[in-house]
Amino acid sequence: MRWSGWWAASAPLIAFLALPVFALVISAKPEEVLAGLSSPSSRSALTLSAWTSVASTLTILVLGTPLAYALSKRPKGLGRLVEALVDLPLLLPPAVAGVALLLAFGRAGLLGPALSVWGVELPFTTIAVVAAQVFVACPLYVRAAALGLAGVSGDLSEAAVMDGSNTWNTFRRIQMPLAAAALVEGAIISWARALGEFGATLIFAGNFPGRTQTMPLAIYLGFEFDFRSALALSALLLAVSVIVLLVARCLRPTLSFRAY
Amino acid sequence: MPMFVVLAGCSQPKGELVVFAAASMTEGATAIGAEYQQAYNSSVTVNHGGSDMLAYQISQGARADVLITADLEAMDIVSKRSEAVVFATSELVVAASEKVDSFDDLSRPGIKIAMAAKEVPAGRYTRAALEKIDPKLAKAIMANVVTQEPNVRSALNKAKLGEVDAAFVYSTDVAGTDLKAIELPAEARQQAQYYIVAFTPAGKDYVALARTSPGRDALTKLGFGKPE
Repeated sequence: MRWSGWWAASAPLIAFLALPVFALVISAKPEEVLAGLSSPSSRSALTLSAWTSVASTLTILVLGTPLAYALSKRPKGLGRLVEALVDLPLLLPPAVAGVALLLAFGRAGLLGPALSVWGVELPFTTIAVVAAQVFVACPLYVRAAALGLAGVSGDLSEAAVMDGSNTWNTFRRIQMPLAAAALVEGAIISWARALGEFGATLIFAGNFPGRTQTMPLAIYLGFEFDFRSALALSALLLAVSVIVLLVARCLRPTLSFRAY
Repeated sequence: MPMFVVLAGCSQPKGELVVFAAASMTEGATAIGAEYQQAYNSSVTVNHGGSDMLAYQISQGARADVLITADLEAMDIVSKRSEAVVFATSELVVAASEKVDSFDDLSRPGIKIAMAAKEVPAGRYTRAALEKIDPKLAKAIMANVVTQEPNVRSALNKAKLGEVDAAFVYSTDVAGTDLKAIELPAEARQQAQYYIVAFTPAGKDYVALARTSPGRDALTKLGFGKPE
């Protein structure tokens, strides 16, 4: 098949994805989008979404990279169980994830009393928003990173070890730079998932403007009350997301190169 | 919570009645539905959720025979304000755990309260009630609100789970839970009025049942009051 044949075969799915997005964009009037931008509640939702999704992604990078490295070795036995555990948040309906988080970390949950002793109560806080986002989005990074790290040729690592490198240095100077493209891609898609997170956030963190009401929550509630302004907010969220995704993807080669 | 109903009109079997009911009227709508089933030999499906959300879905083309909302404002969304009638009432109360013994306890520092969002009737009633009490008390109570839920039942659930100490819900919601119902101060009492409207002839039969004896009795048994 010539390469244009592939694009022809892809056309149905591309059209299926593009049409709703296009419909959303043309239905939002520019003045409504601007009005949406200027309302304090949507500005606070947008700001909250922005920084919680970034915080979640950074948390996922820090906590998820060691796990990705461990999984890239394709461990047997217990490792298989861990792999399945990492996939779980992808399978759980987000609302179920929210209930599970509440049952585990809520005031009346498993860890609740212990956390309370330290003066920590997670539900209904902004930290809970980050926690919910990390829970649902980390599989996307861990899987991509594990795949990327596994793709680095074992010969290179062995050569480094033979030349006297320890595990950490081998990881830092050989494996991570070579897998950087996959790591960055994983970070991008898990950020996108964190930004769009709704069900788990609503249940675990609740809905409180300025504190836990992220853009998806504001849009959901807005639909009931003021359909037009919710549409405008949706278009806004869409625009912001697309811009960030495009910029991140364009920067990816640069980021990968810098990692050397 | 079945908030999103996929109703492909073609797949609706004939003789099935679809009722969209406010979350707090779920059991009531189902009980009336049972009466309807007996009287007309047709199955009834009750789709429940926040009143505004249900009205919005209907305004966007979702097929429903009957809509039940927890206040009149929600009826505006389907432009049925003039046709909707009150068929049951309930009262806004505080569903409280042991940590809260009186209404004033709600203002204690450290108490966590759940209420419904302003986009939902229960949230509107709660705000109206808080406007009628001493402003300092109202401010202290609002400071303890940690979440504004999309429907009154999820506010209740937060209290049932023990994640909040109290929730502003309807008196009919508290029955059957371990929580106790604390009445609002006299000056702030809010009576919730449930409105019902039909979109089809079959729906009109349902509405008639809801407003007369078999339906009325079922509602009274569940703790709902009669409209004045």
